[in-house]
Amino acid sequence: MARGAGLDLGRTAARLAVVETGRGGPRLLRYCAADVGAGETAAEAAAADLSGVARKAGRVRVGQGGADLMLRYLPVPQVEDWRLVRLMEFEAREIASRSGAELASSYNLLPVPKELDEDDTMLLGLVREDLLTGLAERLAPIAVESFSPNAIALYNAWLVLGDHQPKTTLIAHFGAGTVDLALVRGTDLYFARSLTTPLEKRDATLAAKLGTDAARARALAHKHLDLKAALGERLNVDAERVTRPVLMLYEALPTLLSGAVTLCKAQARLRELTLERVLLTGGSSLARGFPEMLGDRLRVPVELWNPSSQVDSSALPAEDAQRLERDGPAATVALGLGLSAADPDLYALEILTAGARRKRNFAERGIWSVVAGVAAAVFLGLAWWRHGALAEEGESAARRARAQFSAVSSANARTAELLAKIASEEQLGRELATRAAIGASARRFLEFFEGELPENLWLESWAVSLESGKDWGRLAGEEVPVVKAAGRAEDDASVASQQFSAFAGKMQAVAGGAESIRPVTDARSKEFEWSLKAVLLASADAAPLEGGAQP
Amino acid sequence: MNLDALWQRNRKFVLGTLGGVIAFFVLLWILTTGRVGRQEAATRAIGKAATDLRTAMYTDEQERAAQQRLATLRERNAGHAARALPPLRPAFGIPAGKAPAQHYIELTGALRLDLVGWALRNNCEVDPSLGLPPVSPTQRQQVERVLRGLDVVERVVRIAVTSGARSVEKIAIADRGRRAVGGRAAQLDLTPVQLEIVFVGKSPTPFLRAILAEPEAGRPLGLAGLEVSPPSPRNQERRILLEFAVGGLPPAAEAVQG
Repeated sequence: MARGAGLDLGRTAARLAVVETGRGGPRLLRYCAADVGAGETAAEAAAADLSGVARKAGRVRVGQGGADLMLRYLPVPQVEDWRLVRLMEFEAREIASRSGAELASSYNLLPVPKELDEDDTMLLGLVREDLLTGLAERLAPIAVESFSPNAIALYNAWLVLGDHQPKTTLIAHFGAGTVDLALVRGTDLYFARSLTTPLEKRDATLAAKLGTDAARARALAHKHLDLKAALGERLNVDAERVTRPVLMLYEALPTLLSGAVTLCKAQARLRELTLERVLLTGGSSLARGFPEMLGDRLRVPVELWNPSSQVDSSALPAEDAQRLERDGPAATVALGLGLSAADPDLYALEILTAGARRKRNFAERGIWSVVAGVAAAVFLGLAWWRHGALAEEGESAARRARAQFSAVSSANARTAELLAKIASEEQLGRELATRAAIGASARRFLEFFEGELPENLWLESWAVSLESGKDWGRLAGEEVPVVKAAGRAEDDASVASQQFSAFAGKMQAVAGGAESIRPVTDARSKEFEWSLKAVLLASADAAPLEGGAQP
Repeated sequence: MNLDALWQRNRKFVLGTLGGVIAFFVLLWILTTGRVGRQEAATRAIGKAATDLRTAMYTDEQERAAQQRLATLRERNAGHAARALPPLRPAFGIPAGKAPAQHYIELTGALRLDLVGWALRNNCEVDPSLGLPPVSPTQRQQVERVLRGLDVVERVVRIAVTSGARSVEKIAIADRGRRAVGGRAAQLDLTPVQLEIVFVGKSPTPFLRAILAEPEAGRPLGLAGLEVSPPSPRNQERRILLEFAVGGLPPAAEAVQG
């Protein structure tokens, strides 16, 4: 479901149509019209009376016609789209530079059959920027979506609501002073054009003739104008009085239409084109006898075409429906504009001012760049924040790990220091025990000798000193107190020897083993001599560290 | 698909997108490189700490066991020291506030007169040098070392005189410091003291008993060696060479025990 609004700014009225397209076909949602008062423009009337409906409808596509709009037909080679775009941009710049004014433009390929050559025909629409800008300002608060030629709106109305007969048909929308033309065949558009007509002078001419004002003259024309006079029919007095002064203005129209067909042949390069039918629409087409007059002059069938009767108007409010019924064919361009805005598949020729084009580009593409930029900025911000948080977490964990290692390392260093002190204390203990053992060994030796030495064995000398423990089965570097004693005997050697052996045996028992006593006897001489070396006490008491503080 | 047409149609979009993407990644790099670097540094630090923690370390339990062991050893060494090292009597210490050299001169002078005279009155001749160095020490440490030795000399001389010794000769108080034990530096810094006691016509055994009983009475002399020579056939003279190692505990152990 798509919705669009079209605004037709006519000379006598501004008409707004809000159309919705869907699977069931187009549906007219609102139709409003504002009559243009004296000294007022159609834009001002629309802004005053239609802004409420227009604002609800959203942005509005506004019709352009008459002398303000220039439509050009350019033969273009069949090239890629991007080349065509460059070509048309170049062409538009050229025209703008020649005109000396900023031009708003739009272009589209014209779907016409090729006869003379293989070139395509490009339809280029141009309007002065300042005119569109001024119009948009006057329409405020109505929001203008874009401007589109009324002739294109006519063609789109034909595409949606026409009978699409395979005949070359000229659709002519006659307004109060302009005619919008669309030359079609089936669904193909051959030619589109907006022209001013002599009818713009009708009311003034009639008013001057009848000595009244333009509004009164227009009312009289609506009431009494009958163009059958041009066919030689006799009219009543009132009709004669109204018709004769303006008949010459209508007589010029067949020439205008046939001229448009000729122009089409030339510009669209369709030499074999033959007009087969004319469909009249627009407010001025309701003049009595107008189709007959044109049919007579153009010698083709001329019919009145009223698309407002074909569109689904069931959703219209009653007031809108009444106005639509009253306007009839005058609503065709408004309907076409609304359909063009609602259905993007229809033929498009949207003319935008530079500012509006920038806004549209931004809304269609720039906004996504902005969204992408914002998303990227948000992502960068999040990444910055997240990486910061991760870095903080990592550094915090690293600090904890370092603190843990520091604590363990500190405990390790303290333990290592303690072990060094223990080693020192153990060595000190050994040294002290050794020192204490010297005196203890000497005292024990003395006590033992005084108590156990047989009477016939004499002790002559003795000594206590520290010697290397290696000789006594101790560790290398360990010192032990060694008692050395020497003596002799008075009895014979054999008895003395036995007594000494017994004494040495006792001493071994006291000393704790045969390894601790080394007795030596010498019985060779006349007297028995003996000596011994003994370790009587243990040296340093140095037990290993309990539990073994090994890492 | 015509690439040229595609390029021409979308050139602005492609260039804009490319520029945007490049700008995005440059900004991303600028904004995050420092923080990523910090993350990596933290990861490295954690890895290093984990690796270091995996290396062999003593545990708290081992530290407590070591403390307990050290306390036990120190207690035991205090007992050993009480039996092995001669205590320094207060009279041989350097009084507070007094110059060590002055105290040394006063003490050694008085002791020489007193001890030698007393010995002579008891028929014992004592080496008048008392083993003191020929040049009086002046530094506090040297003075303390010699006075410790003198303390032991005085005690031994008195025991010898009381035991009937004829003379006390060859007294020597060395001023050497620490010595090696089994090729290693010794913990104890001991001063060797030597005396030779001469007995004539009298048994040296009472003297020896008295000397050897001193540690049992809680007054060790620091006996380091003892040699009783055979009696001289000429005059029945017996010489006893005594060697002592005098000193205190190392400062650290002393501080703990003190």
